[in-house]
Amino acid sequence: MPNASGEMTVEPDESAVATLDDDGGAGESQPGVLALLGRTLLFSTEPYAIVRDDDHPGRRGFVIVLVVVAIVAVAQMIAYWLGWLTAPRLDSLQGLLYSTVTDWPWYAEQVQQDPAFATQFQQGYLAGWEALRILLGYPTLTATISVDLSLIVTTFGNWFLFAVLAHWMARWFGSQARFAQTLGTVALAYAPLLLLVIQVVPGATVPLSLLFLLMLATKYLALKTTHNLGTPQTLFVLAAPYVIVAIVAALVALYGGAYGLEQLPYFRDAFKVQLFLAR
Amino acid sequence: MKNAIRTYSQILQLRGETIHGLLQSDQGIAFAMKLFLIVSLIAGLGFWFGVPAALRTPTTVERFDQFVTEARETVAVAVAAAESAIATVQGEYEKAVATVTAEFERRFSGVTEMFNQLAARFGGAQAQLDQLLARTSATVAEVEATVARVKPTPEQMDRLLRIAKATEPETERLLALAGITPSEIAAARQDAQAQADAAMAELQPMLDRLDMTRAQFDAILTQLSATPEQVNNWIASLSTTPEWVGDLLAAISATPDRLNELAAQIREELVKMEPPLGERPSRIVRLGGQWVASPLHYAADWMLFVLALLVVAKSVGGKATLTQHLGAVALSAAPAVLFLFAYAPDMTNVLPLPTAAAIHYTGRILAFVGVVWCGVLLLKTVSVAHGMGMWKSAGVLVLTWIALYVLLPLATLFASGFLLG
Repeated sequence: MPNASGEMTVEPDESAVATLDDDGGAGESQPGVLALLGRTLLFSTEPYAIVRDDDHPGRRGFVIVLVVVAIVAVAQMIAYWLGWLTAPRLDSLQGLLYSTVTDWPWYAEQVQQDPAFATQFQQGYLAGWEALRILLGYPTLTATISVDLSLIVTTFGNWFLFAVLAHWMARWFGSQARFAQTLGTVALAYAPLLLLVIQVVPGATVPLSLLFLLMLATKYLALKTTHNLGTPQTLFVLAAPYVIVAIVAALVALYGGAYGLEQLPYFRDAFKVQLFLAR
Repeated sequence: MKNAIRTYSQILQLRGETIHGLLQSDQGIAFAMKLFLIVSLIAGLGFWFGVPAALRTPTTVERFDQFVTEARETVAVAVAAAESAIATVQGEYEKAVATVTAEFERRFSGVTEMFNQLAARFGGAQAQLDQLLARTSATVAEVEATVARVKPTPEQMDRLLRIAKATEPETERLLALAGITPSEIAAARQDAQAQADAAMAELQPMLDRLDMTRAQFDAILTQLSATPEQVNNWIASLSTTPEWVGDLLAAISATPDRLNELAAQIREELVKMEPPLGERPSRIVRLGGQWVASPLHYAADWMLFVLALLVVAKSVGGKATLTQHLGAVALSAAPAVLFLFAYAPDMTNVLPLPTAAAIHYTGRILAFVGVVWCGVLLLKTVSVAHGMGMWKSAGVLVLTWIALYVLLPLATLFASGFLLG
């Protein structure tokens, strides 16, 4: 069997009890965040129990999410640099085409008609090239910074929102766990994001579907360990936040869309006609 | 390491006690995950079969150079072919003309001679002079015979002397015969020169645009057996100007240079576009990236099925926890090393076709064995993890397949119909 360091020394004839004896062990010093994340990635249930039983599980969870986000953000920056080394450089072509287009009589006419056209054209041109680079899989600084920022915001936001909703549902099913414990264990469920680190190697990609499904599995383990509910209840608690968020998003889209359409004069007039005809 | 290999060997032998022992602890499940990682990385080594192709495939700049070379060769071949065809046609034409002329001469020479004698006798001397002036060459004797009958003007005499290429003594003799003084012929020559200069002045814009000297143009005129006045007449008959003709000819003559210049500019841009690490090293690095990510892509292909399998297994009384289930499925990937050649890319461009085909079909055969072995092992690991028989495991697998690929799409369809209806 593998020993505590994870080395593969499995003896098939050993009993399961023998492996359980090596399993963490009470009285050992608390493992660090990276060790916890590593074990979580290998689907060990022990890290969830450690965080759940921590004196300050919420604070520990925050540190865990912070470490995950920091590692991934730094990895993305390194990935940008290494990707830049191996990706075709389009800057020269971009500049050449820009100067060609700005030399056209059409461009001069547009600038004459609207002095703001030059700025708008330049912004659109730059955005177009950024989009092209992203489409071709070439790294760009803007995209990298955007991904990093959105990663930080969405990870912390999702972590907190999911923990709130899941905890609320679990309490409804009779769980006695504290909110801080849910926060702490759910933080560990973001460990699969660390797989994004392999993107530092140019050409390596991580399927987002895998990340989502892995996080679904780790969230299940986190909720199961924290709230100790039955399998159907835990599955319900796991799915409920997604369902709630999906319903809210659908309602926002519906009412937002309806409000937006009502602001359009053409639609407003059409609605008035419809109301008149309905009378 | 030795123990790990022994355990791996026992998993491949579908030994239930080994699988059971591994799934009872976090370490055992971690072992399963690491095994999956290592096995799929070994299978992914097949990506490295793409290295020869990555090294051999030309870079963008090389492809462009090749394209330019091929384009030049094609143009050269086309020009040579066209020239050859023209030469052949011309040769055939000249041969045909010579044949027809010879035949005509043979059959009608007597008649022609008689006709010429009659024309000379009855057609008038002026007609004979006009006929001679229209020719591009003549003998001194012909000129002498004509001049003896009709007196040409100094301008006509100048033309006759030129087409007969008369020497100085012959010129003096002919002038005396025609009754034209040297001063009159000199004046005629001056007039002719003035007319030529005037015509040349009209053509000068064309020469300027072609960057051509008078001497070069004269050489061309000699080749064409034409005068500047005639060239002017041709241009006038085309309803255009010498400037326009000059521009057109300059554009045509400058096209190869401009194409070369354009090709050089494009090449320069392509060189600038090359990755800082170089195109070929970048390909290898990216190949490495694909290899490193191969376990994740392999897992992504199966993850949904694996989670659905867990739900189905649990719903029919399966006892495994999520981690045990994932561990069991990870263990079932043990024979995936057989997928090594299946990951190999198409090698027809680097190996002889039979060898490439052999590698391809080796990959297919081994992958088939691997799929069957993985499937049987999956049945075993799932049955061990969930504490159910092999047949029940098979039923669970079939049910999962039906749930994912039949029930789920139908449910989605009904749900969509309900929501949108």
